[in-house]
Amino acid sequence: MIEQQIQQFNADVDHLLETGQLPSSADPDHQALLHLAQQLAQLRLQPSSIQQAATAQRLQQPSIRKQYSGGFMLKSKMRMALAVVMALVIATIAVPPLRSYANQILRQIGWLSVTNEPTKAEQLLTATEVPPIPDQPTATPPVLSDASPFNLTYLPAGYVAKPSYSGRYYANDSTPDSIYISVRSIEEGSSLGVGAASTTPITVRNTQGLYIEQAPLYIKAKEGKMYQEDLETVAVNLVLWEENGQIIIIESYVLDQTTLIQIAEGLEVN
Amino acid sequence: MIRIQQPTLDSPTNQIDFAELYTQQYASIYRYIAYRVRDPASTDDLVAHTFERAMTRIETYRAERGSPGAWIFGIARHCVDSYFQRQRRQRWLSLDFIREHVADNTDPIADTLRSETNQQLYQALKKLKAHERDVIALKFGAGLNNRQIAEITGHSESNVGVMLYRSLQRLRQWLPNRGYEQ
Repeated sequence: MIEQQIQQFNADVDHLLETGQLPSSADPDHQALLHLAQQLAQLRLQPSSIQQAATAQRLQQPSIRKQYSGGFMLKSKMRMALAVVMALVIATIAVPPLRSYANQILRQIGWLSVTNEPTKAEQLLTATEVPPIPDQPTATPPVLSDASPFNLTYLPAGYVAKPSYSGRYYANDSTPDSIYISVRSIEEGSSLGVGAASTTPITVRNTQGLYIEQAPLYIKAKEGKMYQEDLETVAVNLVLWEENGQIIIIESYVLDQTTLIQIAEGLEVN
Repeated sequence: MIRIQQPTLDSPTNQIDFAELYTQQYASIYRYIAYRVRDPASTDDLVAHTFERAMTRIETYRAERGSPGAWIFGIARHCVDSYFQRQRRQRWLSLDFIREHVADNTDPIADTLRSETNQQLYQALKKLKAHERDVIALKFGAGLNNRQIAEITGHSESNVGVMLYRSLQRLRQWLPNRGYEQ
């Protein structure tokens, strides 16, 4: 009996994946499983032709092509491995900063590692290959879909809440600034590269946090165009900390450490 | 949205036409990796890494050990596993991805519902064992049939079917309101 159920389930799932049509079943348990299968299929991300072309271009790089066409025998591998080890040893001894620069974790906030790696925005602008350029400036405040778990009891003068951003985005109409609050579940191993931005350990809401000054996290177009040479990074100041297993970030283009901490201290849990 | 073209995994010889392999398998490899990693930037890197490894080791392929499709899926699985080890088993979204992703949202109500549902699904998926998550990614991410999954994972085809059925039953138990009844 159970074997028949399993067989029918797999046949129905294959039908669902091949046709996009959800089979109907009189058995509510079976139907619920098929609905779940449909949801699982809809989680899938589809690659774009741009991504496929970019990967193909990457595979055309001489170093990879050489390995492909020349065969990659054991002796060659050993020689290369030895050369790499030698180069690393020499570089580490001769150039001490190399030891400390790469992938340095500046601060661990909960499961989030704040590192000195270049931010995604910096990586995009310094990439040698032309990356896909976003259609919209990433400095545009995101539209958040979930309600904020906090109320603000302190807001600096001039800032007003933007209703469509669920209590997380506050704009200042007289000066070009905004306050953006994000609350995110982060799992072990997540990292946030902040490049060369300065970081200061702080205490916020009775816990250890971090103030980061002028982190170039965003990109905007200099004159409205979105070609790579017309892009520049946008730096923000932010405070971040962990609370109830979530990473909370408050950021602004201009507000300083004291003000951002004051906003953080004034958050009330909904 | 769901409809997919199942990739062909069959090939009789040791010779692989890399361009053909790339064309045939790119989309399914991408979907599989994206399903497991859920971060577009990391997915792009891992997909490229998978094909780089395949290209530089193409002479190690042996037809008697499986089809080219199964071979490259093996490489992809290894790349993803290594990535998780490097990331200390990171299974969630990067901050940058969240920012980019939410910036595209246009319907807050629909997004809220979809986001909640997906969050619940992701949380439930995390409770599955690693090999069960892998099979689900191969099935619903890459869109492979059970025979193809069996070839890649080394399980029997019937075992794959049982694993999928039981995994979804367990997922359903862990989801609020027991899942997706109409």
